[in-house]
Amino acid sequence: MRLSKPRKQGQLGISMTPMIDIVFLLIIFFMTVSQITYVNDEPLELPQLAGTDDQETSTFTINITSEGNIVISGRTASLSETLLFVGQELSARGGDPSQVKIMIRCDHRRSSDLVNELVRKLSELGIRQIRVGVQVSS
Amino acid sequence: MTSMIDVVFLLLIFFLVTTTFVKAERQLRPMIQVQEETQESSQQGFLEPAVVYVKRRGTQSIFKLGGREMTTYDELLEVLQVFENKEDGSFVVVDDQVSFDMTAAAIQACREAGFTSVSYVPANESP
Repeated sequence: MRLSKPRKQGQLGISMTPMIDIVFLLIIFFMTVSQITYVNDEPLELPQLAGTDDQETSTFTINITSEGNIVISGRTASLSETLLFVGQELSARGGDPSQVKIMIRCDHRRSSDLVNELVRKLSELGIRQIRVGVQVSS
Repeated sequence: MTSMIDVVFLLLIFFLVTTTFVKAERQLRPMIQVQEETQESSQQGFLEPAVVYVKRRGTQSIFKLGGREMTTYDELLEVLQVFENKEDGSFVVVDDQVSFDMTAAAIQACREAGFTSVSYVPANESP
């Protein structure tokens, strides 16, 4: 005895193709975004402080490692090269120092000598404000 | 289709495991000046502005404000909060040999105490 009609196969199935497309797009998006962040920001141990503002987009990020290396966009640079890059950035922004936002991310174990030297040189270029990266303690 | 979903989930798990979680970062925004300009501006106001020296004393870094020497952030903050002329700003004069931790802490303490501006001044190299 047949109690019910046989269910038609495949009618209630959810189409998986768009979901997989979205998942792949999300993976590619996060991979790309995280790569951009890593290029500018070296993995450093910054001073553990509350800071005053959330980090805004900087036009130029200078990383100083605990060994005293200056790293810009993943590449080690000398002090003179760093200043050359800052000068180029300054020229690209019409020579207006207020348009150049410089973020200094210095490892907390490093002494202040390199930052001092940078500040002296940046001051000569007419830059009047810097941003100092700190790490919010968890 | 099942194998496809398996691969996608494996990829997701792989990226979740290999991701190094970035710690939250914030920023301090000090002005920068060189020593000569600080000396000029310190003579302009009626009250002397707060000048925090970050110095090396033996093996450790200290904060010096007037005649007082402090070793911790909390001590410095306590002294800075007493200042009344917060609109005149403050200056953080930093020796080359002090740890950057102390330098950043001095800038943070000045802002925390309510100074409207904080200037980072590299100390002149002592003779």
